[in-house]
Amino acid sequence: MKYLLSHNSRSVGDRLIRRASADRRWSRFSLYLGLTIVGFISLAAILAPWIAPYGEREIDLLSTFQPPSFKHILGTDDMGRDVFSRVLYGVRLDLQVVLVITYAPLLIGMFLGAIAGYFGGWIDTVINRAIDTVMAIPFLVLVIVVVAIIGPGLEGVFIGVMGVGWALYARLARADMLVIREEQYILAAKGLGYSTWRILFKHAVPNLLRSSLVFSVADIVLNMVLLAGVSYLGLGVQPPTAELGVIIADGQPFLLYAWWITTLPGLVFVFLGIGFSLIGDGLADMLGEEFKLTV
Amino acid sequence: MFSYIVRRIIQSIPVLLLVTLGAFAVIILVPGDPAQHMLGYNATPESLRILREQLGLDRPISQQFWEFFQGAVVGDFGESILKKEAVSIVVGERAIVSILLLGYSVFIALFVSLPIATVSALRRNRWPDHLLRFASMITFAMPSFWLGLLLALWFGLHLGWFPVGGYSDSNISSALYTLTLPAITIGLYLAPLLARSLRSSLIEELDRDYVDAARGRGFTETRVIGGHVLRNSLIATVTVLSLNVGYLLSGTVIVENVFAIPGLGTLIVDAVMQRDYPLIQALTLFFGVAVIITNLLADLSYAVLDPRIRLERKR
Amino acid sequence: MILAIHNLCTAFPGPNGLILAANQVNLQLRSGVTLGLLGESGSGKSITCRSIVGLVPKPGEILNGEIEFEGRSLRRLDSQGWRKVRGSKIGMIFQDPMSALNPTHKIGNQIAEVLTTKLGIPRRKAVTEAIALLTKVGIASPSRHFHSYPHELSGGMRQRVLIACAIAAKPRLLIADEPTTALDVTVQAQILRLLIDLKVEIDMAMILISHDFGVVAQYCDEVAVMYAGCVVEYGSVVDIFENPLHPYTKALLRSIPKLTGHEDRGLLPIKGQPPDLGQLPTGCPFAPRCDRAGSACSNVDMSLSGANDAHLSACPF
Repeated sequence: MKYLLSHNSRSVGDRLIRRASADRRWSRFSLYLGLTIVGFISLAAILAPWIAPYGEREIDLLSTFQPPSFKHILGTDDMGRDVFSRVLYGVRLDLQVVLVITYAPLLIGMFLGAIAGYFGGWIDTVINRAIDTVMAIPFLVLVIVVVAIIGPGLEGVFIGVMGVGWALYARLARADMLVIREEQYILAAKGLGYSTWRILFKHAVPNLLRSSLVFSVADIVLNMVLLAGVSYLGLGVQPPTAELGVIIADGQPFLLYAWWITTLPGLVFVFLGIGFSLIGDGLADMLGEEFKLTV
Repeated sequence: MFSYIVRRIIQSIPVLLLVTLGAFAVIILVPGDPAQHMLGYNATPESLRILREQLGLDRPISQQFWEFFQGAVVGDFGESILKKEAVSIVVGERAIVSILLLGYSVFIALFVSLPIATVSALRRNRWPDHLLRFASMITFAMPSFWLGLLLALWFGLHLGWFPVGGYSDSNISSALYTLTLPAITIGLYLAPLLARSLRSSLIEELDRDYVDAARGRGFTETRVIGGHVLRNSLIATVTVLSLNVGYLLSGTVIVENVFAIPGLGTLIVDAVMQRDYPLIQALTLFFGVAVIITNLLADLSYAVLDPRIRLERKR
Repeated sequence: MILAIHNLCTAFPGPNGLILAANQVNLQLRSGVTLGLLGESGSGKSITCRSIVGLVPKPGEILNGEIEFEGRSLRRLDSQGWRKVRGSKIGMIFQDPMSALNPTHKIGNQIAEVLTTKLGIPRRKAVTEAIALLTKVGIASPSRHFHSYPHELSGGMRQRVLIACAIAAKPRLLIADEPTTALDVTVQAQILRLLIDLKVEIDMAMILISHDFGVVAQYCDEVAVMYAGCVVEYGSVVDIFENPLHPYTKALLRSIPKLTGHEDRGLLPIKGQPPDLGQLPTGCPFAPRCDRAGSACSNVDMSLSGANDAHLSACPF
């Protein structure tokens, strides 16, 4: 077809095309940038025992409150410990814990949500009430209560988050399942006489994974913030173990004249969080989902 | 409408009961003797016995629960070990501070996120939108206590505009003044959540036919957005806000501790540190009930705001 | 001439370049005339009309062309200029009455809003006028329905409300985008009758978009047939029906059942697939489905021509 397009209209068209492909490129860029940030920081954390210039708890009372320098990139704290080394160990611990407290609840929640949505009836009622109850108590309060029962430490965080985290994923999976179970391919599978469990896990569950997976990236950040928060309050990871919340809390009394102890580890934390958010954003765009910070 | 309200209230009763049971269970689940934990290992057998009796630990569990339940209904949770005062009075005093702080924070969060979300929904995938995305990523990834410390460092210590911590309730303006930094912290913690959900519901609304239909009638863009779109998307945002009241409360607990605000957040941490079990039970229940009631109110306001729901639920 | 469109091109970005939803559309409309815009879904009817009122859905944009309304160009209007045209001069009715009304506002207020903002009528008087308009568009017990919400009305009633909104400011041109597609067959005729009556009463010109040959034949004076973004034939209703020139129009006529026709022709569906706007052949877009297609078809530039100005076709053969 011959287009009688003027010069001006051609440039309008070019702009349209450019904008559309820029949107696509943005989501890929976002994913890769996020992966780079997270990969870089995680790698440094994994290699902490080998690359950290000082030990996690290496006290040096002769060089307390050193501002950032070549010797101590992020300075030292009130006991002369190297903040950079502590941050590396802290991120290492944080990442390990956060991966567990994010993905274990994801599995449990998806399972329960899928069952609730698929079978309906009393199973749905029971699971739904459980979700409502768990969601009724603020996350942090529940963790604090668990700590009150079993005492401060990581165990409290594990139990508390496991006890609550599944509810979000269950709610997500249940809502998806309610839609999916009416879809043609599920009806077709039923028509073929497949067993219920086969339909549930082979055909339905893989389709639930997308929204849970996208949300889990936001959840990682939420859990990181939560873990650091609990530790900051003195109820989670206990000093002198290095953990970002602990490090920041340690520096709080010296905020005015040793600002680096609190500020710089926090920056690392924020970078890591941004990295995960970028991954989530890019991933969501590519999977055609929306990256929500909440359920 | 009325039957909907009644049904919605009835629906929340089992959850309420389960939360009560959960709060009661706190003291049961403590390994070992709660009285011993509370008084320490130097306690005399006599004082232990008195405390056990006071906590009702010497009675069978079913009876304990029944007594706890009865107390919960009338707001009687016994005496706080930590404060040597009735738990209900302690909680009541602190709750006012927390509620004030929360209201202030939500106001700030709305103030920040409303214009940002509107601009970025209207300029979808342009630079204001990318800017919002990025800004929300940053505040989302910030631990609220860290942000609070930064604000305290800058606006409190360096500039001296606001107190670094503490709370004064001599009058409302000094209360608000001392709560400003904590409220900004919580507001910024809540804002990305709110802005994002508002943005997506705005985009969803903007894509609806009635928007172009309104434009086709020659209304100003301000009228189309302000009079039609914004109101409809705020309805969805109310739900998001209410569903995340737990998240909001979590943030409040931490920020209160950063700024030493005598609210429920500092109270619960103190209670846990001191192992003041009656207080912990009461606070757990209080937080749970607060969330349930917020969700209930949000659902009801949703029904009032959105005529579609009103009819749907009527059937 | 109330409306004249020259060489309108409206495009959307697609995966492989631009998609021309409206491709060099030329249309002219005299005041008081009803023009039927006929074509399958995706043929560019809606986009053409949305281009007229400057409401091309994002990310689409008008690339080229000129739209003149009452002798003034609409292409270069700013938002204030548009405000004076939309609603007051050009009324628009959208396809789906379910979604074209704001679900959270009372229908009466939505009509009154047009009266207060477009005509500056004070609020209280606007309410009485809105009720009068509801009566005019045939809504029973209008003062009660003033307080109804859209979801409480049937589709037909909602479309009547939308019509009331569109004609409230007595526009010179009314664009109705498939106003009856989403409605029951029995209601369709009532709504179309209402539109024609109002058109005569207010003395408007009207563009009626439809994919239904019968509707166009019955209610329009002139017809423009669209295919793949192009106007392929233009003429009076009688010309188009009695003497179709373009192969697409002919094929379309053959494909519809004729209840009144005595001769038993049998139905002939149009062969092939509806066109993919992203991958059109050069030349005539209908060529792949045309039984008279030849090698020359790839050189056709789709401009309209004909023996007289009142009946034009894009097919030179």
